[in-house]
Amino acid sequence: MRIHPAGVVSPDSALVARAAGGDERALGALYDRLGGMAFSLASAVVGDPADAEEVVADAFAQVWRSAAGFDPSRGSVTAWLSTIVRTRALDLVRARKRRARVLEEAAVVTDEGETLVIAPSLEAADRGAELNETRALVQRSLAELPAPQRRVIELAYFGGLSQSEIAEKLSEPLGTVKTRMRAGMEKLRQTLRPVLEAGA
Amino acid sequence: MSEHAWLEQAAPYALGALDERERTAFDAHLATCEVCATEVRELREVAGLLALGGPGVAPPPELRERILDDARKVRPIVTRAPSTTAAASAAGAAATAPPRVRARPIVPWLAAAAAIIVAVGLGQRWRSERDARLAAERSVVSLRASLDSSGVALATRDSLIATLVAPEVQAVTVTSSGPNPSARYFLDRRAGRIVIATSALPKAAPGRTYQLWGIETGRPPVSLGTFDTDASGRALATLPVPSGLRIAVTAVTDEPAGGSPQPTTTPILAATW
Repeated sequence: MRIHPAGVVSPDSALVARAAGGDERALGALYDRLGGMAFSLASAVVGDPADAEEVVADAFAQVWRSAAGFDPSRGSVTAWLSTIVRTRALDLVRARKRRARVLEEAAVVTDEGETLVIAPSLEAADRGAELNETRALVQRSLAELPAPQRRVIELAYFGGLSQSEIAEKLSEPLGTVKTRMRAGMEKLRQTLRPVLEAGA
Repeated sequence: MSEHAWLEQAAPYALGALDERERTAFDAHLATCEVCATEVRELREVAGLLALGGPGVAPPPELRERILDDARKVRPIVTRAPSTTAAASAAGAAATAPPRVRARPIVPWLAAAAAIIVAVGLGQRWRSERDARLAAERSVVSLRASLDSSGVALATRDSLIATLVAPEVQAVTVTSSGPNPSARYFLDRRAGRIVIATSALPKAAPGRTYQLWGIETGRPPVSLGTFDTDASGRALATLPVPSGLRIAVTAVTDEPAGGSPQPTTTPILAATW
């Protein structure tokens, strides 16, 4: 049996380049590497698994169509794909005018009285067997953030809210929201550094 | 805005949390500021990793195959210029007209065929690019099944599907009355290609073959090539169309192996374009 190490070990951007040339197996390999992440992100934004599936299928179709336009010098495939997934997921949510409802449903009040958008999901993830190192680090990093910082980041990234919308939703001054968002992202950059340096 | 103030926009920008006005302004700034551009690149990577902070649920197993299926369907996007204005307006006019069957035979030898053949236009006219693509994609879906079962090599199939979903492709389905042969034609005039897919067309007798003809109004048929069907009556052939041939009718005849210079039997599966 022949083994195709190139499809397994080559960097994501090499797979995108092969996909741009019409290589379906490269798209399959890319999905094997990043499909879980894409589905995870889509689920966090849209909530419903069937919707998430739709989003991921659309996102990979877009990857397939626009692979030739991917420029590795502008960022990683992960960043590119997650932008595509997030945009499509938010489009779907907005199109159905369910954003508010999704956020309400997903929100839970923690012991400290904090509203965390994706806290239930993290519990679900802990039960999952396939928690790879990166995922573990990302989730640990998020968990270690001060809750107010984490909240504004999650509302922005998964909820698609702007800073001013977040300020309004939380009844906090806009300046406070901005400060928390910056500080939280700075902490994440530090804790995620090992992955960022290895991944690019 | 000071450099410092600009840099503070990088985090909300990477998280998609700037409102539209702020984003537009920052985009303009990014084009001129390497410091901010670098900061955004890094923070975008951070934001990208947040995707893993979502629920750790595995995607359904069938999603992978669906994605690859979709990819095969839309695959080869051969970029071509959109239809001409004249074609587009013709499509607009035609869209409101009911489908019609051309009653007047173009050439005498089609007269016999006209009596037994009904040509149903899936798209016997230029359509808008979108309509044509939708029609072609619908056709591809049903065609894929027969392709899969006919054992056509993957590469051939993909290039074939590329032809089928090209925006300018015209598609015609020809059915005869009763449980008889039927065919779909896909004509890409610009690329000079025609695809014929048949079903229930009995295998040609030993020493015989099927030949496809393209007919320009008022002129003798031009051979587009020969093809054969498999045991289940299916054929799938991609044949070149001579440049300059303005096909008005396509039809198939049963000919001696190797084909004939001109049709020698009654045409079947005739379609008007």
